Amino acid sequence: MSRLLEQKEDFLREIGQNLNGANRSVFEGLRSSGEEQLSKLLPPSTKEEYWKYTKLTKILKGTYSPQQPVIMEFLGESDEQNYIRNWEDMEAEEIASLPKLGVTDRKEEHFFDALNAARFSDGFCVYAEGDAARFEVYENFRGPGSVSQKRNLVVVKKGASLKLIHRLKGAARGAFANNLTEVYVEEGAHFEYIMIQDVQGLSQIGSIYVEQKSNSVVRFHTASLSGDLNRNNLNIRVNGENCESYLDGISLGVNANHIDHHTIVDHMQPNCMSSENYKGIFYDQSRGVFNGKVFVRQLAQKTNAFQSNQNILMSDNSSVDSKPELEIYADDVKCSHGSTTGQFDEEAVFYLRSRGIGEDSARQLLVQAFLAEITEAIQDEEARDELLSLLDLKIGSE
Amino acid sequence: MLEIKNLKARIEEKEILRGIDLKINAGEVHAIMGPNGSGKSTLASVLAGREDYEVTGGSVSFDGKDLLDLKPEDRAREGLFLAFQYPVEIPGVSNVNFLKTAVNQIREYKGLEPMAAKEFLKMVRERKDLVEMPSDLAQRSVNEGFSGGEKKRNEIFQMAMLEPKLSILDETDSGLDIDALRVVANGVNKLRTPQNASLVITHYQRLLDYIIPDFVHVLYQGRIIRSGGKELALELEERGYDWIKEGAEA
Ligand SMILES: Nc1ncnc2c1ncn2[C@@H]1O[C@H](COP(=O)(O)OP(=O)(O)OP(=O)(O)O)[C@@H](O)[C@H]1O
Ligand SMILES: [Mg+2]
Repeated sequence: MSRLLEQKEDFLREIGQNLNGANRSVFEGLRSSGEEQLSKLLPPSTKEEYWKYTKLTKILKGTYSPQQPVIMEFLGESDEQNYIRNWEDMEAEEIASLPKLGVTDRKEEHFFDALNAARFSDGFCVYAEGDAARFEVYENFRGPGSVSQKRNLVVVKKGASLKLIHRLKGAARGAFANNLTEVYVEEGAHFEYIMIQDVQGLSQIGSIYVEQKSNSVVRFHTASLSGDLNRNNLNIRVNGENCESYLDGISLGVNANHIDHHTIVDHMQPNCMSSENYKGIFYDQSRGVFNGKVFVRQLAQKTNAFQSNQNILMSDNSSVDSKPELEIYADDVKCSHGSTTGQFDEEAVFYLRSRGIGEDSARQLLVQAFLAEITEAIQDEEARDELLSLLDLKIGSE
Repeated sequence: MLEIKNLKARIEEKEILRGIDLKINAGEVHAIMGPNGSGKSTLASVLAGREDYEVTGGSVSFDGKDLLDLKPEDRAREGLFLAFQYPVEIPGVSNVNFLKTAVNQIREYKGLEPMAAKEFLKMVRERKDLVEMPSDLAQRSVNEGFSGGEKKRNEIFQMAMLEPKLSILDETDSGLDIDALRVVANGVNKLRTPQNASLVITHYQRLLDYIIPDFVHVLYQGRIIRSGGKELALELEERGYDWIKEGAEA
């Protein structure tokens, strides 16, 4: 038996199968196709391009206590037009009336997608028809070694507008999460998603698949502020004209944290724009990875795609692998990408100190300034303020 | 107020300041002139506490304190201010915000309460007018995208906000148009009191028509080779440096 196969079997046994409220017949199809793929696939290794810079050994060799549930709490007024619910609390017909789960994911290729399809235990379903829906999700991690696999669905109907603030909170040594979220943004709809990852000791793989229709606008903000390992896969299929897609993120690495943002924006139709902006600050021995892939299909003329990744290394032992990629098959497009990784601007530190500002505050001011572009891009004021004060707190203590 | 004795400093094995003596009393304006590369900015940087330079000898006392022993921020808190020859751009840090932090940290150092927001804004308004600084510049990120002259004006605005005891102006006049020069010089003059002092580094007599120095020093190869009254600047303007250099090199 190969080493990976052995690891896979140990791992699958460890994380167990805890279907909870999501053990329902409507999901049987998804689960069985997940199981089938899972039986064929091996866990990814760094030999695969997609996982080259992110070692999963720690996840695969973990010992888990899968019976510890990770509790989700929702905030926001649900009504007929807009709601957020657990799978458990939904009628089978209701679920059947929504887009089918498992259409946008990549369980055929990705071990963790297949794993989620086969064994997800819970999740939220957000539906928005109105023009000012706003919901918040808290996932609270507590028990050491807890396991959480949520399967989420977001549907923003034609012309609707939704803001969703999703927080992973708490502290749970050696915990593992493998969340998968499918997002449908219909014609002319607006969706803003703010994800704050702040769980000490957690290793998590989070995958988001988005299907965007014409004239829609999406904004994804991913803030990775703590956790042993954060791997974020954000995949957007821009399948309609005149769309706007904004993707941005903050990586704040301390100790031996590993933060990895993988994005794919697939421009299938003409006259769309996408803009990506990821910034990272890495202290101690932390490591960052950025891989942004933009596809511009042959049909997607007049695409405007912009990509930027900037990192500051705060210590000699921190490092970043950054790889923006463009694959363009159309001829009339405007695309640019850039990536910089550097040390702190010591000239600026001296300038501030020469005005009477202490060295620590000077560094803090400069870090905040560096990240300001990202926080300012958040439209939801409450979420923006929350993130700003979280950052103040964390950067102040570094 | 400031007493520099036999100050020597080097950078990367290169001796740049080779024994400087200079005494500045409260209420005085001193000008330092000297050819390019003579060490003027180095002197300013060493006084402000830039760590790239290694002080290899001598001493500096500032109001009785050993200046060289203080961190850069504490030098500023003690009342030293350097208007940089090349101010850096700091994207994302607003001028006003950073000045608020600076003002309050200086106050804290002196055991004072932070300044009330209203009082601070009033001060910003007043000092901005004093140096005729356009409002949007005060609000913008520190020096980001400022023209050369705007950067210099911003330095003087900061000086006005921080009310230092000793201001070192490193070629604040270069890059300023004639009107801006007058405005900046007026600002400096208005901020002059019998309790504070300035050290003005310049290449041109023109600035000294507005900010009238009590003493003029010539720095050459890391030493002050001549000192005199304001008429020395006029003489330099007319004759250049060669006549003094010859004497110094001998
Ligand atoms: N980082 C450095 N490494 C090596 N040499 C340096 C460094 N910084 C300054 N110097 C040298 O020190 C000498 C003095 O420089 P300084 O900037 O003090 O001159 P200055 O009198 O201010 O000249 P200017 O009138 O052109 O502004 C110059 O020869 C310069 O090249
Ligand atoms: Mg100079």
